[in-house]
Amino acid sequence: MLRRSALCALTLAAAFASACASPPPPEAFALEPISASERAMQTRVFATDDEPSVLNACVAVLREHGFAAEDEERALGVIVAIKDAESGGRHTRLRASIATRPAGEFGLEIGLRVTFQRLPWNARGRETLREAVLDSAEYSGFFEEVEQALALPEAGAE
Amino acid sequence: MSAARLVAAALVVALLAAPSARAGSRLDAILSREPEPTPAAQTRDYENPDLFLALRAAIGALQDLGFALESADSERGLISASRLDTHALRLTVRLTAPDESTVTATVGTDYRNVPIADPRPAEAFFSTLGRALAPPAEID
Repeated sequence: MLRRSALCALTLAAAFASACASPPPPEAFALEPISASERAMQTRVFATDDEPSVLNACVAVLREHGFAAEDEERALGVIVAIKDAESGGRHTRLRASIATRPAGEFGLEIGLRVTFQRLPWNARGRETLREAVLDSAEYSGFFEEVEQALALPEAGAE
Repeated sequence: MSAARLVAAALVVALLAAPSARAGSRLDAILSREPEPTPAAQTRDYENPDLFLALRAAIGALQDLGFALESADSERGLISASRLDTHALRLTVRLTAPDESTVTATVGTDYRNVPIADPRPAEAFFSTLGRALAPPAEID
C-alpha cells in the first residue's frame, strides 16, 4: 500500500514538473524587429553632443520618480534603473533601460532610447513574465522631463 | 522511508525541476552570467569594425529586436537584454576582438531562464548587427 502511494506521488510529481516545463510556443524564437512606430515612441534626439549631460539628466529624472540605478555603463551610454511599488497589495517592479549614442550626420546630436518594463511578482514573491510598457504618454512625458533637466543647467549658467 | 516522506521528497524534486518556479530566484545570477562555450552559444565574425562601435551597434540591434537592456560591461564586452513580451527570451552577448580586423560576437539564449540551443534568436541578432555594422552605401 505504501509503495503504491509513493509511486502515485512520484507520478504526480513528474507530471507536475512536465507541465511546468512546457515547451515554448513555436513563434517564441522567431524574432522580428519592432515596428517603426514603437521605435519612434522609445527614441528622442537631443540637440547636444554632451552625452554625459544627457545621461545625468536621465538619472535625475528617474530619481525624481523613485527609480534607483541597477546597472550603469556610461562608456556605452547605458543606464538600467528599477523602482519597486505596491499595487493592489501586489509587488511590482518597474525597470527603465536607457541607451544613448551619438546621432546626426556629424555626431553632434545625442539619440536617447528608453524602454520601460513592468515586472509583476506572483504571490510567492517570484517575478512572473515581464510586460512591456507601451503607453506612449509615459515615454513622451519622460523625454519632456529630460529635456527640461538638460535645459536647467544652461539657463542657470547664463 | 515513510509514504509521507516520499511524497514530500517527490514534490521537492518536482519544484526543482520546474524552470518557471526558479525564475525569480536566479535573476541576479543570470544578469551577471557570461555566455558559456557550449553548443547552445552561437558565434559570428565581423570584419573591420571598431570593437567599441560594435558594442554600441549591438545595443541598438538588441533594442531593434524588442529587447530591453539589463546590463552592460564595456571592459568585458558583455551585454544582457530581455525581450519585452511573453517570449521571455534573454540574450547574453559578448563581443571580442581576436585580431585587429575581426570582431567576434558570441550569443547565449535563455528561454525562461533555461539555456536553449535554437539558433533563430542569435541569427536574428547577427543579421541585425551585420546591417548596423555595414558601411553606408555609396551615393552616385
